[in-house]
Amino acid sequence: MSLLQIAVTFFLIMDPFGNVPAFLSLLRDFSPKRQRWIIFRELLIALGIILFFNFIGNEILNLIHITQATVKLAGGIILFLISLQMIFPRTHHAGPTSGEEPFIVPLAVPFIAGPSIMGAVMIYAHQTGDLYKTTTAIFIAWIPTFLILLASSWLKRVLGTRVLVAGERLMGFIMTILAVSLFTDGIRTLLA
Amino acid sequence: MHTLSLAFTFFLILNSLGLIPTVLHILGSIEEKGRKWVIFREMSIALILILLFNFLGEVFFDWLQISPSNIQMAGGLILFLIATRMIFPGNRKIEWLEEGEKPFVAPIATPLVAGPSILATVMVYAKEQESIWVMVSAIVIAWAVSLIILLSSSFLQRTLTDKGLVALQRLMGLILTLISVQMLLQGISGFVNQSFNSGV
Repeated sequence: MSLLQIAVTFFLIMDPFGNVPAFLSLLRDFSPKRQRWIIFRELLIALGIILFFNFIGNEILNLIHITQATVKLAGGIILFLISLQMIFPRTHHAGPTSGEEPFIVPLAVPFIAGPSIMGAVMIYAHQTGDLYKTTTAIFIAWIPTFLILLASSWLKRVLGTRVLVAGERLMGFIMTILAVSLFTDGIRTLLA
Repeated sequence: MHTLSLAFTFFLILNSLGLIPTVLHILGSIEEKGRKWVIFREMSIALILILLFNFLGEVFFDWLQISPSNIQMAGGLILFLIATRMIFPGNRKIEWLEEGEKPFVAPIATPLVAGPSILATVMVYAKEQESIWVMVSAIVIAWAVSLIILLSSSFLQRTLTDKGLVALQRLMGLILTLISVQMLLQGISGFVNQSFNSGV
């Protein structure tokens, strides 16, 4: 798998467009300057957590003797389920803001560094067996995610919530293709 | 795939008949004459977006090195999901416009007409298709028919009523299901041939 393919997959799973409404509603009580700082801090924390799973992924999967084909097949199925969730999004129930500043939960975890990206990172780290590659891919995916979230209030004003939802769905559709490609790869590995 | 069959698929996904009630609702505050102009303008913007994604699709999947059979399989799955939505439309009431807001680009051009479904489908077909002109002409044909339907939307709603429109939308969804399964099967047989007959 090419570096670009992995980076695009990670970017799609981080789902910045889908997260814009949640970020905006949780941060609406803070000044724009403070908002930018919180977004920056939370995304750094998320990046740290994702990198951590990247490094331990290989060890864990080796420990329980998982073969390449299994990882690819399961990865394909998981990616497909995630893409379905993006295509048919459930409304984010952010709830009333408590006035407290969100710290780690819920923005860094689980909105950005959620179970899907942790799983995907582990799978790809094991599948490629090349930590430099996955680490670079994580950084490539993280930067646009960060920029999109930083511009979230601007994006919402210009595009409107409906267009953001449409953007998320489009990304979900594209992810379906990556999921199928991983799955068929797994079948080929299994039968080879 | 033949230009006309492609155009028919795109026409089904554009779902112009299903859009009529929503479009009429959004344009409710605009008088009859201005309405036609707004529909034309929004549809033109939508066409530009769709064509843009058509060109993007070719480049994008090359970049990602995804084989055609995988694209067909995924495309079949995506089309199937879209078709299910047309057959079982959720009766979600969405406020598309805020009070006093004029429709421009959003919500008619995107996401109602040039929504995620048609953009993703166009990307998938663009990669699958050899010639870009087949794609462009198919898109333009499907777009032109949808434009005519939307321009005569108030007339169609009067003659067919909302119930008739929903029934037609469902029928179109069923046809789309067939197309999607066909595409999925093509993808699977392509995958099997490519992986096992050539000894890979």
